[in-house]
Amino acid sequence: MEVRVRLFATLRQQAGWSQQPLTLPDGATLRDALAEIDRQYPALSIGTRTFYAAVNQEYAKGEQLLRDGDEVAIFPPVSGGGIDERMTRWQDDGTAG
Amino acid sequence: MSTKLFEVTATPLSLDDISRRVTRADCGAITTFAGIVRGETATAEGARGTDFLNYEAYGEMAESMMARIGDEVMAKWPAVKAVSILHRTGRLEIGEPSVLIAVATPHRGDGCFDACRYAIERLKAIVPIWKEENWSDGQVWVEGPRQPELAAEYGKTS
Repeated sequence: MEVRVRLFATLRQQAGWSQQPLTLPDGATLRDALAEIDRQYPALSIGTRTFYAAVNQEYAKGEQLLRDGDEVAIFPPVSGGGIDERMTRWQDDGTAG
Repeated sequence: MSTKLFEVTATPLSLDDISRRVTRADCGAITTFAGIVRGETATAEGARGTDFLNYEAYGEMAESMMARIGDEVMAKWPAVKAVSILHRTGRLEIGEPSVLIAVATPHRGDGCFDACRYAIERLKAIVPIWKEENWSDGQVWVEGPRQPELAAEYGKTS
């Protein structure tokens, strides 16, 4: 099967491309796809960095099974919005800590 | 003019525009939040001047995550009648809004202030958008703090 790999931000810049097809054996998982990306594109250093992965625009974990035509995106931790001096996380008690 | 409630766009953002998008006959209160490009960033070495920012988005996923945040807001604050989240992409100059959020409720005590705060914090955690800071002698992509529940399980970071 063939999936489409998309990269964003630093990862896109390091690779020098934003999307590429990737051929995988049937029954491959996201983890298999990541291993293949790591093998074909070692400059991305995905084995040693924090990144998020999404399958068809949904955050996904390694065990997720892939299907022909899926869109697999990998990207760094997100940083939208304005510039924060101290990034905050919302907590359920209504404070940002 | 777009009437989408959740939108990633290269067009400059306007508070009047987002307020119109959530205005309803049954809502007497709208809270808005604007995230603005600041000219200075605090770093370990002290304040550093920013010339401009460049925002890149995974557009389709970003809009779908924004819509999810809207659903979360409606679930947490059932009185909320409408939520809109708009994020700009491309080159933004100091003073321009990069993100706008608007929440409409029947009355001001119905949670619109808290809901608006919740929405911006969630956006910063899960919406796939990245900023590149540009200053006089360089540029760098900013990575947000790692959210362990989102990190892909692969290699040394799993």
